[in-house]
Amino acid sequence: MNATETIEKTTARPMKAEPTHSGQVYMPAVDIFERADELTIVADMPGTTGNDINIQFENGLLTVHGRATPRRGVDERCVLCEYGLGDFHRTFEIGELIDSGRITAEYADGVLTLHLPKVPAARPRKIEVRAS
Amino acid sequence: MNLVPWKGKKREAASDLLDLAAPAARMRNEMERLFERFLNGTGLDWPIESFAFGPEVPALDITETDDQVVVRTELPGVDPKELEVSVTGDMLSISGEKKSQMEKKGENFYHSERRFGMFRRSVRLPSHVDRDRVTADYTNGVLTITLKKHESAKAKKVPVRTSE
Repeated sequence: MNATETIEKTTARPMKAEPTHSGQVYMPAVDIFERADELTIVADMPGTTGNDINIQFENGLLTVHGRATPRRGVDERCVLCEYGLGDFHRTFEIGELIDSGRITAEYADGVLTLHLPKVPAARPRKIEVRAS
Repeated sequence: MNLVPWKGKKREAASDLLDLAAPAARMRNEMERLFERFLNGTGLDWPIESFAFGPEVPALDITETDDQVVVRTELPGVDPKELEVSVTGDMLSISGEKKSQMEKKGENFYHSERRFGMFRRSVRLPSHVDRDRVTADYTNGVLTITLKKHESAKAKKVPVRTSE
């Protein structure tokens, strides 16, 4: 990542699926990277709280849903409104190589970090080379 | 025992673990984002000065009431100590840097959508504000700047007299 790269406009994009409740639903931008013992998902989900984030794992599908906190007062008039307010929603397929019982999550400064530990069999194993 | 090249096996395992979107849908999303960036960069009524190439960054939400102007912007993952908010006349400037926390060794970026880097944005406020009564709050990734309007900028009702 180039440190001087300027940030793009909000990378959350509206979902194509029909919402079951009113309001726009957004897909949060995520980074996924892999360590030896776990997979880490980092998602930009500003404007919600730890209590409003719902993470569910069922049938190999990990669903993340964050409810947006309403922000504007009733008497506020829009002057320049460049982004919408809405819930965050994203789904991931998790294979059997993830130990689903040990998935943990933390939320700070608008960023949700999911830790998906791998089952021991999936961790890379170093093989020693014996010289004769 | 199966002798499979280690690197190849690791890639396969990673894609077994997660399946984000079919390639065609991803391509469409990329095209959509490209068009969005291109089209949304112009055509705004308020004079906007941006120091970044491309669309304005970060996206702003400016509202006003009778006695204050509120500016909100979403900046997840930014260290509030690195945020700089300043008011000059009726111009508001916001700048800072979103740092990538994960540059450690031993990690593979499998998928990357979030962007990092420095940002700077200046915008002309719709009203003169009292510079001594400006507060900025960063909670849960949302920066909220509340600027109280200057007395002279508040609307004053003028009674209409009719002459019969």
